[in-house]
Amino acid sequence: MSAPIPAPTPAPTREPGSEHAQDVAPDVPWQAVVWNDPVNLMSYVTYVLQKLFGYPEPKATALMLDVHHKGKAAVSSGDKDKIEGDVARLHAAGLWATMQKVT
Amino acid sequence: VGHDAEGDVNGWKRSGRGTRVRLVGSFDARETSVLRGLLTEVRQMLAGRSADHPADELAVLTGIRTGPATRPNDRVLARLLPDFTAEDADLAAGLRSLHEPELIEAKDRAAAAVLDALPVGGGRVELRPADADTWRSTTSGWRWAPRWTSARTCPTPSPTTPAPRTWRSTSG
Repeated sequence: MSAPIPAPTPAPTREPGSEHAQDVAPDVPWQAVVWNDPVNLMSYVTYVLQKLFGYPEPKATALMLDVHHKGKAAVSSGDKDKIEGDVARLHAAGLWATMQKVT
Repeated sequence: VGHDAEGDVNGWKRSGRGTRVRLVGSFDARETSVLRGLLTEVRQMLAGRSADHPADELAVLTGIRTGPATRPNDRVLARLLPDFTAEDADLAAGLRSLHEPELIEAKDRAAAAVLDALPVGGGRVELRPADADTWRSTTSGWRWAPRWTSARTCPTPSPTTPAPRTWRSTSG
């Protein structure tokens, strides 16, 4: 068995201590959105939101109810990499989730 | 989101304390047969998807796997393996290719674990809390599968869809 080769990591796009940092537009924040489906039970969706994001039960319940009544809810936000990971975890948990740019 | 049916969760009983906490449920022969059939079907579908896109030499060499860039045609598979975004087709394709093999592996591993724990012919099932998480994520994946596999039509999402009482324990 050969040792696994680590996945390539992207090169840093900004030099450390760059004085131009404030000129660079901040990363457009992204959101992970959970969509309503008839499949997942209310208690399960609430549980997943608590477990994956560490949300307190009332917040997780409120988000679940948004999904239920409004058809969707943004459950987390952040940079693209973070949200990509969040969506991957939501998919692994069986939830119907997508990522979108905050407009 | 489906409403919780009475008995969905309550069929399991908690026993023990601390690291010895166990969730205990039981399934009769018919329930077990249905569940095993579903799990086996889902595993076959996932395996079929993987087989359609075998790892190439580079992936074998590097251990960096990539999956297909296109959404499965099958509705059940498409729901098990959703798109990452609806806004940008290129991004969706790229992220699917990047993440799908891992997602398939995780779902298959979870389904296999549940199958392992389900005694053929029915009986008692004892789960550690971590196992229970596997069961929960797995059930959310396949409890609706027969609805779609039999009709091959996407159900209209409805807030009033009752939850199938799949999880009701016969021991309670």
